[in-house]
Amino acid sequence: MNEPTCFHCGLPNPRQPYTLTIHNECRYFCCAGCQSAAKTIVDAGLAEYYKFHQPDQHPVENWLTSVGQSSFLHYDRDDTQAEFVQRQGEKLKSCILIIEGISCSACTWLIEKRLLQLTGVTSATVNASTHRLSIQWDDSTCRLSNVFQALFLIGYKASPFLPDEEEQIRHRTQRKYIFRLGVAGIGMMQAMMNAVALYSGDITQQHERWLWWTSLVLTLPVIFISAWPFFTSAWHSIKGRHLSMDVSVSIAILSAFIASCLATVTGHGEVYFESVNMFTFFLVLSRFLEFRARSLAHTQGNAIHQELPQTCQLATSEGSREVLMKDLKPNDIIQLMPGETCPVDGHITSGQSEFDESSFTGEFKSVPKSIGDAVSAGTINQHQKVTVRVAETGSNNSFHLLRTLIERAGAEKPRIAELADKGSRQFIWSTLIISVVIGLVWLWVDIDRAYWIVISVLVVTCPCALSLATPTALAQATLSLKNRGFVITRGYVLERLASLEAIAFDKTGTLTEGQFRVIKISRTSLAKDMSLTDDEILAICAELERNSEHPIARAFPWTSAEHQFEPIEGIRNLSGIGVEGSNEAGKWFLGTPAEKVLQVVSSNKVLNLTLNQQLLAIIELDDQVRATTPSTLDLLRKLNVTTHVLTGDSATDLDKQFIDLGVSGSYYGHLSAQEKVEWLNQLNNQNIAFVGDGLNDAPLLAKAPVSIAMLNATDMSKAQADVLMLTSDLQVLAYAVQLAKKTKRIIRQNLGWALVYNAVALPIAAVGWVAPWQAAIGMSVSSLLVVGNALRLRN
Amino acid sequence: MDILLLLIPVTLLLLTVSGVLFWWTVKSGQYDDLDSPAQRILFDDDEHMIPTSKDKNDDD
Repeated sequence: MNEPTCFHCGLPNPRQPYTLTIHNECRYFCCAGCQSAAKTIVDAGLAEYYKFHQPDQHPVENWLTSVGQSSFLHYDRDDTQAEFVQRQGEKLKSCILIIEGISCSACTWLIEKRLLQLTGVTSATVNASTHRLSIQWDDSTCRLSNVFQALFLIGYKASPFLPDEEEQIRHRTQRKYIFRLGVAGIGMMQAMMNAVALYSGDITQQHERWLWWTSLVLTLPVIFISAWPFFTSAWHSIKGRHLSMDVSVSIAILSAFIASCLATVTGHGEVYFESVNMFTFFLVLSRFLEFRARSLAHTQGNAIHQELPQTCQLATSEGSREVLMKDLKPNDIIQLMPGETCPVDGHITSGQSEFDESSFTGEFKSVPKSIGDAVSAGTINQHQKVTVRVAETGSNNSFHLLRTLIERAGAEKPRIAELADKGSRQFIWSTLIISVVIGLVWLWVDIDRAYWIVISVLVVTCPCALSLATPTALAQATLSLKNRGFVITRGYVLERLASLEAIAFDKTGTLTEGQFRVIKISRTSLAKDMSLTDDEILAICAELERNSEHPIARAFPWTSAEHQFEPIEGIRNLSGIGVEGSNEAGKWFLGTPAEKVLQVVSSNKVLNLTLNQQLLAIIELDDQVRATTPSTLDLLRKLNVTTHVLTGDSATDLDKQFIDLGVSGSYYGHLSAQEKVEWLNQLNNQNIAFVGDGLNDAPLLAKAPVSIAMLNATDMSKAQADVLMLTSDLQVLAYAVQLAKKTKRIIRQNLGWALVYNAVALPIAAVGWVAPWQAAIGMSVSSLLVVGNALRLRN
Repeated sequence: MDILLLLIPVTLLLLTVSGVLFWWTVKSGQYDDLDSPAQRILFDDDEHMIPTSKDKNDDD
């Protein structure tokens, strides 16, 4: 019996899942990446991970062959390390890496355990909230590339991290918040204890004064440490001639504090230190929660991305030598090995190969190139060594042009003002004016009571609940979505998602997996005579493709020693045709059938496996729709969100499949990046979200009202996105729309409650029936209700 | 109740000490990760630290 979900990542399994036997039990996996990660983890003696981990992980997306993994060696170079590695003493080095793919605390456990198993690693600590790994290693016994490789093999992607200015400020701010929160909490508790004694009533004059003075001393640090930033921010906003929430907060805190101080010094009047402390504590708490949700979303953005290689091989008359990228000049000739990313725009001068241009076109089938053909920077050489004559370097190459296009689109994007400030600004004005009017009236009616009544009015109408109503709900929803792998990086996303009308999807890599998979194996009678099973055929194909970087090779995951046959030697890539190699049985060939080489390739890739030129099996490959796609489209339709598909690919057999699957809007093929943006412009201001991954999606991501980048998106697309999907479970999209609607509802409830409360409390306080302590309790209860309501968004 | 005159300054002193200690814990980065320590304690990977009967015999 097959299990429906992947043992490693918990996503739905395909019809023919990958299997692995762990502790005498057969486990099922959704992809080769998950399977090989699980194998590595179990082999390292860390199978206990599966006892702890929550199976809602990210699948191991990027499955690289040994050739691909050798790119990690890049990190051993001193000039690369200079950017992010610190030396600690003679042999020790340390650095910080950002890890992609962490989804629960078991992941941090696994990473730390695995890395400490490596010889030479002296310490490894993962911060579960920021996904940073601090690692220290002995340079003489361990190399940094080993660390990258070990992380990769257990299913995580690492990139070097260098804290920038903004990051350091964020770090300091977090510590400051915690300190402020702690001080306010301690002050609040102590002042409350004093307040219990004071309100008990049975207390002598002398003891009462003593307790007043104690409370005053306890409140001082709260005012000067916890509440001080409110005052400075209020001061800045007054100087900038606009009114923020902090202004009325500061007026309420300061006036209650000063009046209480006066009462303590003169010996008569009333003190409300505990109200001041409580008020401050709740304010800092709400701000801290909001800050945390906000800053966690940004932690991914700081990695140093090395999309382009820093050096390349310059071909000279005496052979080739390594040169720095910046030293290249037009008309230089460089060598490009298979698996290397082309660093420049240029033309091929010798050799022929296929190039993966998926980062530009989104099309993952590679494009054949031969002498004279143009190649673009950022594309990957798939097969054979070629030499390239440099046409454009540095800022003129197409990679940079695309970047400029993105920046322009990003600048045109309308930004909505923060929701939180919208309603409250007028509200602050009116409470201030009303307080003054009430004060003036009371000066005329009863001059003794005027001051405290004004304070009561200010506290009771303090827009605390109003100011908490929106940010708490937003922060909670953001956090809840982040836990599901839907990381929001811009403030307006939830607001727009709530009124979303349509979602446009890129196809390859978004709705589909963007990888070839075996869909059908037909064995010939010869294969049956040799009693070869499907599994053995696949194992032979895997053996033949083991050194290939071609996307097709990924369809044949390396399933290790379960099948016994002679190793195949002398494997050769035949560009555009296939691979061949031989062993004792004879000469093996896997590739496009000879009679079809010249035909226009249909969408399904058909491969022949031959032995000594006799056909053994026909293998059909195709991209597959993600397992979660149909249910996502279904859920979105129920939410009345129209779904569109925009793709740069040529039409394929999958098209009809999508319409069957329930794409409710239109389906466009053959679109360039520019046409995609034009399509969006035609929709004049419809509230539309776009989900994409490739470099060609980046301009549209920058332009769309809500842009969502997939986990495997290129870095540039990620930088443009409002939302990063850290999961390949598309259903989270529908969940996000649902939660955004719920958030909007809860914000409305909260604002409604805050307004009703104020409308009722204001007249009561104005006629002098509310003492300041009652006002403070009323305000706190009101705030707590609002926060409690927002916490419902946590599921 | 005059004991309050003495006890309250004592509590204030203790409070100051704990306040300074709190400042030190924040400063030394003990609150930088608010998520994983709470769950790390649940991982049963400390079997090598639990004394077995063999260890006890060794002690004897």
